[in-house]
Amino acid sequence: MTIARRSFVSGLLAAPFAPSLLHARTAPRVVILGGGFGGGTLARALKRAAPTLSVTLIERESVVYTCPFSNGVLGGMWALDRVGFSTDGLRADGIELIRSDAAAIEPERKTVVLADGSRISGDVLVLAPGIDFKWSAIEGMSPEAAELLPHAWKAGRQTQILRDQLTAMDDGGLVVVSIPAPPFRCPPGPYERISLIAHYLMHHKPASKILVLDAQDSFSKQPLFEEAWEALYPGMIERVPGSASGAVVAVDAATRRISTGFDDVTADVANVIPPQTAARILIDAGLDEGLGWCPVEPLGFESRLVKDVYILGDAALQGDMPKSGFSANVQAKACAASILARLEGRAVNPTKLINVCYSLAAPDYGFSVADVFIQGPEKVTLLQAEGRITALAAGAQAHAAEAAHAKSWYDTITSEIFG
Amino acid sequence: MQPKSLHFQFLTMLAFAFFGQAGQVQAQDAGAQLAMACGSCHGLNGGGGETIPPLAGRDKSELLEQMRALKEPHEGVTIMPRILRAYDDDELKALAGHFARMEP
Repeated sequence: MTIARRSFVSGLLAAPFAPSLLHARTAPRVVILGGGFGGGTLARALKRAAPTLSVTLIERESVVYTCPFSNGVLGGMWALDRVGFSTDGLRADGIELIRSDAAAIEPERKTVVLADGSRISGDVLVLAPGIDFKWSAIEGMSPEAAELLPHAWKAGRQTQILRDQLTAMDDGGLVVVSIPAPPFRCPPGPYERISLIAHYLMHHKPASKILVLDAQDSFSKQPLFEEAWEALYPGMIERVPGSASGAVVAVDAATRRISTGFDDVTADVANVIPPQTAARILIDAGLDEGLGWCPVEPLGFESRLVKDVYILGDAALQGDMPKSGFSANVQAKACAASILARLEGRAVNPTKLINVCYSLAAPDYGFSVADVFIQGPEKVTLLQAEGRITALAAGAQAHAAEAAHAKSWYDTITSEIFG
Repeated sequence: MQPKSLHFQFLTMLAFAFFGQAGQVQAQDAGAQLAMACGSCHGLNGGGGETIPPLAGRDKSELLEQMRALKEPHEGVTIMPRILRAYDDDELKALAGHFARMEP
């Protein structure tokens, strides 16, 4: 009787397979690469829930610039400082912060090799290094060319280069924005950028034009963007979709000549956003399985290839979730719950996750896509396929409210990660 | 006979206590787990933001009624109906209970 009851209780409450690492003599160590929306959220969530856990965060930048709200810098709504956050705040909860570039990952050993050759190893490894560019996909594109034709798709210095080019441009100039084939970081991001550049031009250089060379045919929140462009910036934006050979195939950085398969155009300012992959360091470690993005399971975002290695945010194949800061933040919380459960020898149940992406078409003109997902057996699955975006003809009041919510969301999430 | 019956009674009580507690823990866990996603806008501690309302420490039945009502589109409310339509009533109860238990 006693034995039967004990095994019954242990089956429900205690570890079916793993010993409780959280109660081991040495605190288990979680090593995290990348201090953005995924890695930063995870570090704080783990430390808050389990203060005895050793949490080490590796981040190369002393100031992290967020891609969300960086389009506002291009539109002249605020300075770059508004989207820059010192990583010092991450130390506050007792997180060990290592300020270093990473040279390699050894997944099986849960190890990150730093630029100086030293090795940081943990019991659990979480990778959230974001994206890299496929430079070779566009002839003439390179990190050097991007100094003249900025992508500004990793916020910071690149954002400032593009902003400076826009302010230096004469009225009547041509701004070319080149958008890659999906998947890429922040699906509605390029179109918000076009909107906010148009906002700046309309107020300061109204004779200027924006030419959008787009590898995509349709895009995120398309009816809402097109409605806003028609209302706010009539005649300023011309878009060439993928089916009309919109994809940029070659550039000449010195002359700012941008070529599609059909035509050449010379820009005064060219924002060339190259096609993207998971950060190179993940691909070099084989964690993408040759796919360019890293397959993960849907409960805690653990790599499909290596146990106790988790991959968060833009670098992962996240099922139906988009590559957004919001997604990475939510995934990090689910990941923290999963890691803690495993360390305590518990199982974790699937739950529902959310992504809301706000876009600004002008400072007081916002709209959104709002989605709920379920952690299914195979992948994170979108629950409702219809009615996901703000209604058309929503009116000025609704757009102003969504713009205010966007700012509220941004300030809350960044203060919780970096504050 | 009597000792055995007492023993049985004791075990039944234990089982009730255990299942009762486990059930409650499970509901709390479900609420906390679902609430992870709400925190991205409403704040980790449910404190809200500049224009996004706080949820922590709200009266449970009041919050539950408000969430039920917000499943339908409302004048001036653009985000929440699109989110809440994906949650069933048990999930809304778990969420309301979770936020009601949080410190405001």
